[in-house]
Amino acid sequence: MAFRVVLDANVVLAACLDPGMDAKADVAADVLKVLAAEALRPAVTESISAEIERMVSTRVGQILHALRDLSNGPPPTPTNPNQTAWEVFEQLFANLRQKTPGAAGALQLLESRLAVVVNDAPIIGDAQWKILLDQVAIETTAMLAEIQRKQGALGLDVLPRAGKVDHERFRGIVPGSDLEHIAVLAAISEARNMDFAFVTMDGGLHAVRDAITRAAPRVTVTTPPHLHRQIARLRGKH
Amino acid sequence: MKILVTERAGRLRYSVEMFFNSDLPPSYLAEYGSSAHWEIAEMVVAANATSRRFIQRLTGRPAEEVNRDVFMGSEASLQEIDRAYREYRNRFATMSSLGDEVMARRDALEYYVDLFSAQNIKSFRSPRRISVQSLDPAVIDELIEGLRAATADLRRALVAEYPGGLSELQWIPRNDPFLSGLIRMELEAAQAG
Repeated sequence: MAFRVVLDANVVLAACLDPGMDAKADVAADVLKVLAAEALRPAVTESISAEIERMVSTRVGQILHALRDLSNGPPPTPTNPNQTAWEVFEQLFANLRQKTPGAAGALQLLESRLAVVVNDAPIIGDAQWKILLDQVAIETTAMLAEIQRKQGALGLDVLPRAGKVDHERFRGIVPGSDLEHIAVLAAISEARNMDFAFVTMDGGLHAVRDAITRAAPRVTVTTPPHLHRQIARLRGKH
Repeated sequence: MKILVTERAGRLRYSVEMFFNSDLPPSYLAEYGSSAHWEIAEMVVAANATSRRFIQRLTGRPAEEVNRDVFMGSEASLQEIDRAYREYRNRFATMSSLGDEVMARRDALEYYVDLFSAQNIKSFRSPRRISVQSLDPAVIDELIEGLRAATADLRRALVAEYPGGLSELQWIPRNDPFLSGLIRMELEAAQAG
């Protein structure tokens, strides 16, 4: 087999969602179905695998950091008759947002998680609040393990780096973190004399596919609906 | 097995308390916690799958259909029993050695933080405030990195050897909004590049 199908981080993450609960999850599930039908194992570059790990770990770390801040403060219990638990809860998160402006996404997730509990039954005291925060901290570490498990279940081959990675060839063409992935993939394609179909859900990256192929003729950027046709093309070529 | 799992869960709770009472980097708890979940998975999944395989090989029937009498009445030859037992022991040893490595790395991290920050031996293993200033951050980073690598090795082995058992295991319920919210957020971030 002189070609491989490589998945972008967005496809891998979407595949970690349960199909039926998100349109992107369904699209990613279709990608995996196509690959299974074609008896092809999906792959990612080491850089993509590392990017996903880093993103999830960082976010989980931000949630844990916020939980620690909350555990060192008072519970969302009204201190005067004019206050409700909700008002105190909202203020706690306003304070956290002021303190850690770079963790907006993590705080939003945590706020939603804790709001479910605060909404069900008011927190009545420090001990109950601490137990809740302990539970959510353990749950948060379990989320990290669960995403790792889901990713493992996709059966991805991780392609080690090969050849000389030349970022400059793609600078100004490929946006964001995809610059690294495309440059790594181009280097592997040249070192191993192998074609790659790179499946992405990123419209911006797909828009520059011609420029990428001009710079790296063995790398074809495609989107999920076109994967089947690209595989047929690559099979025909080899 | 239950005792071991309960012990790991208890130590994870202790570690959460230690983290909450400290200024340790969040990666401390993230790696400690996820490694504990994977090590528990190793104990549960590998032990179950290996035992089931052993039983099926000797009786020719699925493990859930086999009771003590059926197992003891196996007509497998002594040579076959010997082979099956050696295979069982080897598979078990291979996987548990990876789990042991994860546990050893986690112990090293936990005990470094707990022991080296203690003013005296009495305060070791007792809840107290821990400051990173009393420790060497480079050592913490190195221990976290070692734990991460050992956990990654265990994950790869479990995925390769026991994909079925692993797919049945769930740390977080399907469609949990906290989990799906996190994945969606990373998905958006990945799209944004």
